[in-house]
Amino acid sequence: MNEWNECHNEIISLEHVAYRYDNQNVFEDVNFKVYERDFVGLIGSNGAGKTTLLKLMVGLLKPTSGEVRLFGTPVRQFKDWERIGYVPQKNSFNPLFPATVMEVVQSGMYNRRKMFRRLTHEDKEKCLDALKVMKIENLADKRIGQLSGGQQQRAFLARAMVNKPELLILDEPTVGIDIETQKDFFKLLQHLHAHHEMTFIMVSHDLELVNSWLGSEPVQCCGKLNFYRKHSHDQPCIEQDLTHSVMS
Amino acid sequence: MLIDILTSQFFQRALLGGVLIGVTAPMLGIFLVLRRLSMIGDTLAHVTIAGVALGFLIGVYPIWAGLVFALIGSFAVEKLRKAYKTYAELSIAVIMSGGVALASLFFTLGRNFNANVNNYFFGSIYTLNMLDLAIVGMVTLIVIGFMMVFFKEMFLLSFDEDTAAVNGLPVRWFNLALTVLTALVISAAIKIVGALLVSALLTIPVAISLLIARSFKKAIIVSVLVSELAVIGGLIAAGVWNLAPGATIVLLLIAILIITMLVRKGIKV
Repeated sequence: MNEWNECHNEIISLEHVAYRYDNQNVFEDVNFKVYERDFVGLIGSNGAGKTTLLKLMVGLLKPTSGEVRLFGTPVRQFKDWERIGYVPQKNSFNPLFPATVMEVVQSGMYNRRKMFRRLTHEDKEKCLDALKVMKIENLADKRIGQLSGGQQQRAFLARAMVNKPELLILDEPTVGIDIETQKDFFKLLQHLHAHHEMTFIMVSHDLELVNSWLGSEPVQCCGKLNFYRKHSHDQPCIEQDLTHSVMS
Repeated sequence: MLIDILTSQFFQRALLGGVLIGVTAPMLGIFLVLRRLSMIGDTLAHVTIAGVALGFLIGVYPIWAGLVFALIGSFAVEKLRKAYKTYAELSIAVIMSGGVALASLFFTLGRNFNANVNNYFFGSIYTLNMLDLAIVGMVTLIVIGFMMVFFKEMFLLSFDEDTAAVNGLPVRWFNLALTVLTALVISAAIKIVGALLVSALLTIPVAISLLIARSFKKAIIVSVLVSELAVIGGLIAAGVWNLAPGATIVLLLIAILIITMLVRKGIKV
């Protein structure tokens, strides 16, 4: 039994989850729980099913068997999607897409609750704040494809942060980014984890980086998937507006 | 002669219909192009032609029959797209050849209506009647209404579908809506622009706007302006020199595309 089980709620629970594709098991019998204020690293080689598991967690795919729960609710019935922020792989979007950084960041607010509604002035202020936090407010009117890899990653993180999510999911956030930028990016993630009551799941193939931060031993293995975990009990920041946690 | 044409009722109907299609086609087209579905317009146009041919054959109003076929075609494309997720273009190829095959079957069954069908292939400014215009108007209202309500959701869906799904948006429903709207626009547009060229109106204005627009909103505005320029100019040219309007509109669009490419560096908006 882990010592934090009693003091924090379950954010994600995977029970006997299996996924088959083209009559081949991608994985079977995955059991794992993510608790409030965990930072979970999900490591595996190519083809281990990392992205598949991520998609199962957010209901993009349906497990062949087993159950996925988000915040205690079966994922099929889950409705509070604004509690979740998602940072996709940097190379998953079209670099020639005609959208400004601001348009991309605002799209973080386009969820089921905001359907049939326009963004308010307040919403737009929140987006501007998120840009300031990531130190890219001067790039707001630039086309997203013109930004460097690191800047794009910050734009996507800003987008995921606009709803102040309780759970942040990152899919390979370091792909195609130089080492220095990666370090800056992780400093920010570490701060958010330590002081902002957020829970993280990060998919990565970068074992070295995960080891240096989440420890050298996985807390659990399921087939080729390895789960690493770091839990935070640090005091929350007094300031809630995010702008203080700017990278140095 | 120009005045005669401009003041004639048939031309004014064609112009009004063209202006309406000029708004809706690129407005939908931008979402199709950005989702790598540029060819869906062509596909549904070919399917529509099969419907038009059947309409002539069995005595149903051709545009209605075409509309029904285009809708069935759009459902079929969506269905196949799901079956072959990573080959979106495969569904398009299958349905397109299916449409052409059906169209040629119906043509051979009803050899005597070939002359009438020509207008549906290349467009005409003479044949748009009040019923056609009413259909175009209805489709325009539906498309503009949809875009006004769901613009931001459609943006996110085109930019990155996974995030749209994680945000809880009904992704499947929006995908289906986009193809159905495309079917509507195409079946409404083919009498003016012609089935063989209607997809140009969905894609070329967008191709031009992608060269110069930095933001999504500007991309839409630029593509609509460009398409209106080409539609109005093309229809007038077709009227004055008695040419097929599909040809004049599309050639004008391509000319604008070439000019834009040549002077591109100077006109970023």
